[in-house]
Amino acid sequence: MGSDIQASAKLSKTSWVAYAVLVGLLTAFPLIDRNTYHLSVGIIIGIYCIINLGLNLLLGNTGQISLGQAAFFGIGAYTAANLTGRINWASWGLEGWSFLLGTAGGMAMAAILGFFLGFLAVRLRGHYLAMATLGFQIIISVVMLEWYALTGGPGGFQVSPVAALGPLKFNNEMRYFYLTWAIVVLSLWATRNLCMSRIGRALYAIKEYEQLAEVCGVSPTKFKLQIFTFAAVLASLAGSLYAHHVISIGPSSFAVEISLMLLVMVVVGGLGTVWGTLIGTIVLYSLPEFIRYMAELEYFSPEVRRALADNNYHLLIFGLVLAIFVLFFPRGLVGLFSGRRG
Amino acid sequence: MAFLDVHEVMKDFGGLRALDGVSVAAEPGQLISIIGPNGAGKTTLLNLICGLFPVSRGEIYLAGQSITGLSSCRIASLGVSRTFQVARLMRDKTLMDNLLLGFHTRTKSGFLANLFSLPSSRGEERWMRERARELLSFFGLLEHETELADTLPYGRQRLVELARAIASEPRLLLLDEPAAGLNEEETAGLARLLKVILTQHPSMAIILVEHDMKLVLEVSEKVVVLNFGNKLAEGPPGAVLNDPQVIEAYLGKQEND
Amino acid sequence: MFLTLLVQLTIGGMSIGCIYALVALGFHIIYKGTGAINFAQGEQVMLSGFIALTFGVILALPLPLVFLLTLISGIVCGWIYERVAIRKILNAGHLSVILVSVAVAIILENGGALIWGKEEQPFPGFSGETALKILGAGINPQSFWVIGLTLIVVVALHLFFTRTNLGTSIQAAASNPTAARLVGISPEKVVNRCFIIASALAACAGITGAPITLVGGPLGTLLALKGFAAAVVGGLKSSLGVVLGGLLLGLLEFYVAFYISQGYRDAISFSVLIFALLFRPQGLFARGD
Repeated sequence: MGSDIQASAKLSKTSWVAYAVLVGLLTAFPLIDRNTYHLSVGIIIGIYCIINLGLNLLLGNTGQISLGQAAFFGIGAYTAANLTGRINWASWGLEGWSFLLGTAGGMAMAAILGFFLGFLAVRLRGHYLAMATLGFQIIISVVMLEWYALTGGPGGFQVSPVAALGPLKFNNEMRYFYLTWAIVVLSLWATRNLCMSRIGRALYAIKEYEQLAEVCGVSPTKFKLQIFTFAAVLASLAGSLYAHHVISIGPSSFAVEISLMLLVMVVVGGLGTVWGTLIGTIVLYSLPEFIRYMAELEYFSPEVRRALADNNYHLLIFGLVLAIFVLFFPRGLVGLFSGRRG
Repeated sequence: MAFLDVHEVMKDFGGLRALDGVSVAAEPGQLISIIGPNGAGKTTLLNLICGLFPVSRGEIYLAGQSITGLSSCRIASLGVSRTFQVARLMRDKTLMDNLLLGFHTRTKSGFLANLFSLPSSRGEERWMRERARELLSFFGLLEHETELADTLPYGRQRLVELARAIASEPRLLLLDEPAAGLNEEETAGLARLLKVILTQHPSMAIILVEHDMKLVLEVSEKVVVLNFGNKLAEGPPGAVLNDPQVIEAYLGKQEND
Repeated sequence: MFLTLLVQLTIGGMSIGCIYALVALGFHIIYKGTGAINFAQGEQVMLSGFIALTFGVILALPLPLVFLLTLISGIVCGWIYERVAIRKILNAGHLSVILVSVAVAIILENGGALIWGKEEQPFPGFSGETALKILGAGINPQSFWVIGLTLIVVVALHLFFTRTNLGTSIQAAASNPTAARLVGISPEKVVNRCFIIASALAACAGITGAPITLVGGPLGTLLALKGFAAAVVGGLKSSLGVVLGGLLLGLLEFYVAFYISQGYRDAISFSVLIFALLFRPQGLFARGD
């Protein structure tokens, strides 16, 4: 997070440059690279960034472990998919707005459950909280697999491709890319605002100095509830975006392995830093994509290529990266660049 | 009823009775010192008043309102501030950030307002920082505002804690051995500071737990002596410090140590 | 008829419960010695299953030798794990230890799948495959091996912690590390030994449970979660508590799967976990933490 005083005074300089570079790159990318697969990867990365901004607030800023963010990702996806796909919006003349309303519905659903998880966080700490959030994740995963009527079970759910805001339809990769990343940048701006405000200071105090926080009038209960709800809402927003992009969703995209992967991205990027979260997500999602790309190259022998394409191999590398960073680079990727007090 | 009315409070920790029916009263504008040998229950009393621990028996009233059993966060929002025996600052944060935490109860912009950086939240932030700079200036710390808390010498850390405690404009200020670790010059400075604070905030009551008798003599209007969880004596500083019972309590402790 | 069902469900529940109990004991010992949670515990069980598979099926060595070799391999892996990953990170706080053990769990799970294959593989029962008939119920004989082994382990651990030098020093170091250091007990050694014991437990669970749970497949993570859930519900600090927690969880699973729903079985188990955490976070059988 860095020093607030420097941030607020120099917000003009470093931050504006970073934002400008980011927006510039994002705007240019789909114009330069029209490959729909690349754009799709970019969209998914953006979607994970949205979830991770929330997870970073939870874990990095407030010190609350949540191993259940993928569950909220799924709740947002399935709820929105049901709302957009199963309701006859046309009969109210609202076809253009089904996506927005469906997404809002998903976010509302996630907010309720996120509040519940926050309640658990008020009562539990450390491993117990980790365990409870993990339990929540498993319960939701089971529901996604078993509640056939709502989710289509293991076979998955077909989502109507209706992403639109009124007359503006996001029906190709490029538009969807811009939509997703516009939301990412908005979320980035919003979470940074939060971090640098009195709320952010309260959250930080709760993380490591809870007794001090209380004595200064900061209510850990209130803020834990708020932050868990917010992280859930972000994840569910990402879920709806995901559902209406990949069109066919299944429970495996929202399972405990994904929750763990999100954790790796946030930790490796740099806990507590918003830019670190972005970098970590981009780098770690690109890693298996890059390996998959290498698997296509004729340069390697067929055995090597088969190994490179193997999903287990990608996850193995994930695990190694996590271990290396936790052991040797606790400040994450961002720490490597800023070279601050390792 | 007094402004701060601590009435017959008892505190048991398992089998150990830390406080055995202690009563203390304070009025706005008063500085009351609590002294006594180690283990007398002084810090426990502070912890009870600010709500970090619940009382086992007894009541505590602030301005006529019962604060017994309220959470420390609720009590803080009612206008009670404290400092700790060992300065508790957020190590990795700047002086300014640490001080700003003290303004939490005086600000109220919510989650959404700050999320979207609405004008109300930005206005509050500006106001907070201005007030914070005034406070830093008053404490002579303005040029250190961007330094990290754990790089500061201990004396300055204590000052920052004190500044944070009064940032919230408390009605009741609890100070836990603010002179611990300070040299003579710094302690004298602290005494002057406390007097100025009292003049500037005539409706504030201060409870001071201390071992430094010079400081106690200099700033207190009333002194309360605790020994083994009981109130041993109470009265003007000169009288109390010369009370033979009080002296014996301290000497007795010294002999046994 | 009802009695047959009772026997079937109870013995089945107890045998999987014993496997959970062994995993839970592993969590308990490491928590006791270090205050940290080893998320890789379940994967260590899986790894031992794979190792047993190599020695017992691929190399077709006799069972006692397989048991011994698996145990030794488990212990060596545990020693390496502690030395390389844990020792460095123990002072950095609980979150770091959790993260490192999550990393190791990911590595073991995927490394295992890459080396031995992604599909679940069968492992021969110790005394054959024919079901034993008890009160009309067909019982897998391996159940008794599992239950018997767990009993032996529990007794052995109890004796170890109360009668041996190392055991008592671990107890001492766990309750008062500073005092322990003053009397010459090295905390680093304690941590190392705790990891070794937990790894040995994982090896026992891995090889004895393999015929029942099969080797490989997605069970590893789930095993860790359930073992941890059992430990937390029973009371992380109480060795008897974690064992009872494991048995309870196993029985709950079997009965719920039969009477309520097979599919929702895990959801119900974990809901019970969350309830238990909410109302008695120190564990059902803890001695008033």
